[in-house]
Amino acid sequence: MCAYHLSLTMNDESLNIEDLLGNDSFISWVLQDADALLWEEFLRSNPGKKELVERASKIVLDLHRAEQEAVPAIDEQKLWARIESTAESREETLLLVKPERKMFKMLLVAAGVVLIGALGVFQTMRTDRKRVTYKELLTHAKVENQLIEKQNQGNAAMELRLEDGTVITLGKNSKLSYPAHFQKRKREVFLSGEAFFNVIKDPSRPFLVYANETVTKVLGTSFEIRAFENSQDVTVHVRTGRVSVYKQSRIQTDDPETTGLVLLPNQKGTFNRDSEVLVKNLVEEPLPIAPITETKKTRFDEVPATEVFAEIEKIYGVQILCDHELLSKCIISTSIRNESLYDNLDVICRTIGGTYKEIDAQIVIDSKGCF
Amino acid sequence: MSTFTRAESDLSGELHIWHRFRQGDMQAFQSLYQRHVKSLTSYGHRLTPDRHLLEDAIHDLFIDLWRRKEHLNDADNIRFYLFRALRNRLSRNGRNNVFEQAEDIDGFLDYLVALSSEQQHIDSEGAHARTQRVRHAVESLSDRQKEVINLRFYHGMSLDEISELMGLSKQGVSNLLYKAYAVLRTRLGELTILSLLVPMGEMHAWTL
Repeated sequence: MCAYHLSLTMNDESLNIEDLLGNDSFISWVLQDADALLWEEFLRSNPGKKELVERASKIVLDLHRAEQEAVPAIDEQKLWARIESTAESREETLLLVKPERKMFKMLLVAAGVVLIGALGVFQTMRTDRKRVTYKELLTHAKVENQLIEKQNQGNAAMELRLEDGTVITLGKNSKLSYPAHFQKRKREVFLSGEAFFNVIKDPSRPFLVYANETVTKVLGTSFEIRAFENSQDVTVHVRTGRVSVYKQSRIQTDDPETTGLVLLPNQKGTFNRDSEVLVKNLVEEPLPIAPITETKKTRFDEVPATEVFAEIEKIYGVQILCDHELLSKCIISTSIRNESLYDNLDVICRTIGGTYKEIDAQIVIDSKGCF
Repeated sequence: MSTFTRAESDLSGELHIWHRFRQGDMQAFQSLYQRHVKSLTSYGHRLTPDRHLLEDAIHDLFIDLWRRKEHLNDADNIRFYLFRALRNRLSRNGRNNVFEQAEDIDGFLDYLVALSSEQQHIDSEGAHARTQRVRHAVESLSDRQKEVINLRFYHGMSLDEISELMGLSKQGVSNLLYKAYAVLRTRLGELTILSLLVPMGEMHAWTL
């Protein structure tokens, strides 16, 4: 809106509130304080319009506040976690294909499986060279830190409390090394064997667990790592929060995290030490992220199956992919019970005559729909 | 004059973030999300009342952006770009009727005729109650009227932008706004005479 045009329309004697509300510059002035000089000048040269301007701006602000209050509360962080995890997942394309292109989707899955298999064969040809031992990790770390080592040779789990309040439950035949005092920028520990971590949140100091060839990085969360020196795999199970797992290279790349996995609750990452491939799956028994309380909807009467799936997604924090159009015609009555995800899926799939499988830490429902 | 500073008015930062995002910078992608998720939620809830559908649409929108980042152009108005993408996404979905629904003339006339009893309390209410009443009145608008009010008065969009976004002529946008004003005026009361008696600072604005 140029000044000339503004003064022309605005000096008109018949100027009314609708004119002001229809003026872009006026709206920007009231909401964003743009064009302020222009409007102050306008008020100075048209003192008679002061009342009109005040009334119009009050309407703008009233409507602005009303709309502000109307914004539904969505969990922005959770939605971001979902977006990030989808964006980072290696089977990204799988999610994006539309349901009608099912054949294409299946081909992609098949191609992915073949690719992973091929990588595995290729990688086993050059094994041990790449293995990183606990001892090596420690020698690397000792340069800057005085480390304390705890070993659990008994039969019971051993509980350790670190200086930041983090609690670690060390499994048997496992050992953990940690500095007496953490560094300013990060908290690093070294694990051989099996341990459950309950990490105190500290966004300014990420918590890093080095175990064999993997690094698990968190800000604050609980998870379990299994990394025995003589075993084939390293696994990370996430109970709460978000964890990123990546391979540790001998030569530190710029940002190894970009090639890693982001794990959410009920997901586990498995690193195969031979093939050096990191894979994301659901844990064997996905459990509700938070206990099902009475406030959550668990009882459904005559609703589309998709609605039940949406609720299950929320309870278990697991993505369910299905053909929405087909399944919205399946009207079912059921209840979600406080038990394993798979028990609930079994019941629903029996009702709608479908099957499900887990692909890349997501559930894919296959059903012909209901008529 | 009170102001609402918006993150997205910081244009050079916005373009820088957009640029970094297109090069695959996850952090830039996250800032893009953080800058716009509130606006998208506010606008989106005027397109669908279903919160889950809206969350899914925002999720899909960002995933689509991420997947196509190498092929995206320079966007001089990123918020507009995102709004249009969200609108297209929700209209393709077909589960809501904002897009097919013609203006509901009968309902519109009903509002004009039926004078709400709420308007009599207008003098004694506090700021919060007032906002609630305006909000309530906005809820009584047709879907498209709500959409246009949201874009104009919450997001401060220009008439040109609204016209492009909603696929209407500029005159069409103005007409829609005028109808919305008429309904709101009816719902919020006729205070033309009363306003002459109220001191300037406390005057109620709904005397169009």
